[in-house]
Parts: sequence; C-alpha cells; structure tokens
Amino acid sequence: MNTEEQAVLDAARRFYDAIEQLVSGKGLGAMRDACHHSDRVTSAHPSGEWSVGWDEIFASWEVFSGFGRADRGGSRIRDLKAFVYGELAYTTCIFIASPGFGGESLPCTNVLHRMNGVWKVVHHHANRSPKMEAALEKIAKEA
Amino acid sequence: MSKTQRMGDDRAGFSVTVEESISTIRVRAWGFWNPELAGSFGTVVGDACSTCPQPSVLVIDMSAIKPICHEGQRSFGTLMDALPGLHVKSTTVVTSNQLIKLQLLRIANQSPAKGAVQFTQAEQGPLAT
Repeated sequence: MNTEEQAVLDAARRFYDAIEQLVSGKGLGAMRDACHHSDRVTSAHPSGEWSVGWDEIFASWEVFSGFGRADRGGSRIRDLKAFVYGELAYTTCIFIASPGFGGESLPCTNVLHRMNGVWKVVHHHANRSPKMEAALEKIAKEA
Repeated sequence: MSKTQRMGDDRAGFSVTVEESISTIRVRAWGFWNPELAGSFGTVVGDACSTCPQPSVLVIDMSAIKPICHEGQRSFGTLMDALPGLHVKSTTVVTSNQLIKLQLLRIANQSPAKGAVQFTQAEQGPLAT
C-alpha cells in the first residue's frame, strides 16, 4: 500500500468515526471536518433520498444526530479498501450499523477529493437499510 | 371559498390554503428551505390555523421537501406545540422520504399534539392543493 492509499483510508476512517460520534450523541463536529463543504457534494443515506450540496447534506446528518445517544453507539466498518486516481479516490467498505440503529451490514461507497493536500469526502452512498428505518421509527414513536 | 398564501419560490417554499367551508388548512412544502424560510413556517401555518373556523383539520404535504435544517425543525416543533391551542382536531403529515418522516415524527411525538398527528405515505407524488 502506498502513502496516498493510506491517506485516503485514514480520511475514510475519520468519516466513519464521525458517524459513530453522531450516533452516540457526540454531535456533528467531526462530520463537518470529514467532508468538503460545497454545492458539488452528494450523499445518499440508508434511509432517504439523494442530498445535493453541503447545506442539504448537513441537514440530513442532523436527522441522524437527532437520534444519537450515548447508548446507541457501536457502529463499525470492515473490508475498507481505497483506490486512488490522482486528486480523486474512492473507497468501498461494509458499514455495520450500531445495534441501536438496526445493526444491519451495508455496502458503502465514498468518493474523496484531495484539496489543499487534505482528503475529504465529497460523495457518500450507503445501501438502503430497512432495519435501520424500523429502528429509528421505533425510537421516534417512543419519544 | 379558499385563500392561499405562498412563501419562497419554485425551488423551495411552502403554500398554505385555508378552506373555510370545510374547516381545513392544506399546506404543501417543497425543496430545501433556507433558515429564514424555515423559520417562518410555524408562524405562517399557525396564523392560518387561527383564521380557520374551528375545530379544524390540518393536512401538511411534505412529500416534496428535503431534510429540514435546524431552524425548520424548531419551526415545525413550534407549530406542533401550538396545535392544541389552535383547536386543530386532527393533523395529517404526508411524506414520501423516510428520512423526512423520521425527522418530523420525532418532533411531533415530543409535542403536546402527540396522538393527534397521523403520518401517511405519499403514493403518487405530492397532494394537489
């Protein structure tokens, strides 16, 4: 593995660390840091549709953060791989949602862009997760 | 007789129609709201509810909206909190995006209107107003 691939893997891990922080009630600060903020970024979550532009994407992360709580953490990833093409790279992995968020295993793809020497996420796509939708709906109804 | 108020533009906004003859307020929302537009939602819809013959029915079609920013969540929550005092006897929220449903369901269930708010799935696009 070369240095660039390692840098991309590190950036992807920061992104998934940010997800873990928000589902465990620690807020959105790490997510802000893990992503580029522009109108040309995109995201599709396990529930929901495409979000385009950072403002819209941030609002979608706020939804998940709203369900975050210390005892709802425990998400992780496995089989993370990076593929670098100059200033762009993509990663694949399996995201395993925390038990509080349904616990489902989801294939995920992320595109990262190196800007000013720093790799950050510009596109995120996770497979749809009926178990996550059901878990969050249960939480919402218990509110 | 009905009166319609429209806020925002074709990209992002909402409309509120008061149908006095059937004591119904119909709201339709679309696009990604900026904080200013989002912040006005609760007040505009609440004011419309107060002008409608009571008890009234409120139908909020959120099937064409994007996830709502912090100001919008607060504004939707303000409206939910106000509903019992506005003598709205039932509220239906129509969504097509599961993320939006979860977002609004959580807010509604934290309000005094909990139990009087029903969520339904849009089957063929937004409701006509």
